[in-house]
Amino acid sequence: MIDRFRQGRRPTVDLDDPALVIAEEPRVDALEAQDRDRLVRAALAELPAEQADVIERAYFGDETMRQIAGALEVPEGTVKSRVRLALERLRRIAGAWELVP
Amino acid sequence: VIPVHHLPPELLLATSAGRTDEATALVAAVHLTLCPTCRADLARLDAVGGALLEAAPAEATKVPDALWAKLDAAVPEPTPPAPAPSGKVLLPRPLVRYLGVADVDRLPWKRILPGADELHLPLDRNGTPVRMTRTRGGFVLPRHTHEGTEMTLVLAGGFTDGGEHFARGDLSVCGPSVTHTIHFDPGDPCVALVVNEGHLVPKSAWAKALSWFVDF
Repeated sequence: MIDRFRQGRRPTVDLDDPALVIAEEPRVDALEAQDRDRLVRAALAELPAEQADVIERAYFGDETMRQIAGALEVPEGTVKSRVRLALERLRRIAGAWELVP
Repeated sequence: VIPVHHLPPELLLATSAGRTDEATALVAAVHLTLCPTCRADLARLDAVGGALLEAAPAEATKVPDALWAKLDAAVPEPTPPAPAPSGKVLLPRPLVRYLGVADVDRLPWKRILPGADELHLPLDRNGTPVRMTRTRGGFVLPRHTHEGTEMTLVLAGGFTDGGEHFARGDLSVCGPSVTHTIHFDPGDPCVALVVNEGHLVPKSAWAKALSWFVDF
């Protein structure tokens, strides 16, 4: 029964999980989809090219961090730090957008 | 309580892009269940992935002033502590789906040492193995290193490793170059989800003796 339940499943968060730890809601309503899109695009446009490149490769290049590092001929640690810097910038530019239940 | 030790950014990105193996996906799902901070980051990356997919023209990137004002006003409140679980360890659902049992005390633990139990998870696909460990309070795992990366996600209790403390929801990621000694908190047992890419390599006589008996 468990096997059938799991079949073809990829482990993901269940938002109805009683174990879910929830942050307090922010004071504003969730952003409208249109506003959110604008923010994401602005954040992307502001990313240095080397950071945006790593992000794009991860989504579309079918590459692991190690493969990206190989393709760019930089150490894997450099790729990881680009991802970290990109994420920090995303947090800053759109830190308050509330997408989390 | 919100975790202090998070998913590394590259694992968040790999999770968002759907490029994690089953073991990593499970660790990520369990941490994300316990960590609203990483869920927020993942949501940001998911939005980026979505935007990249749409590949819209550059002029769509202008943000109106009114929207900036709205964002400036939206400073999130500090997070209140989660209600303390009443004695029982609440196992996140992504894990329960593999275990079939939600009660830690009813799992088919295998005793590997006095004070240390483990349980291998049946994964759907072959790959990096995943196990759960239950270690009694006060236990010390002597100095050792690993052949590959080790990820340890705490589900109950806690431990100290290299001056850093790890409690429920915290994720410890150690590369193969790390040699460490783990001191488990006194008191309740520590229950953790562990993924090792390689085997334990003992660095002390005691650890060498242990490794005769235990395939960490």
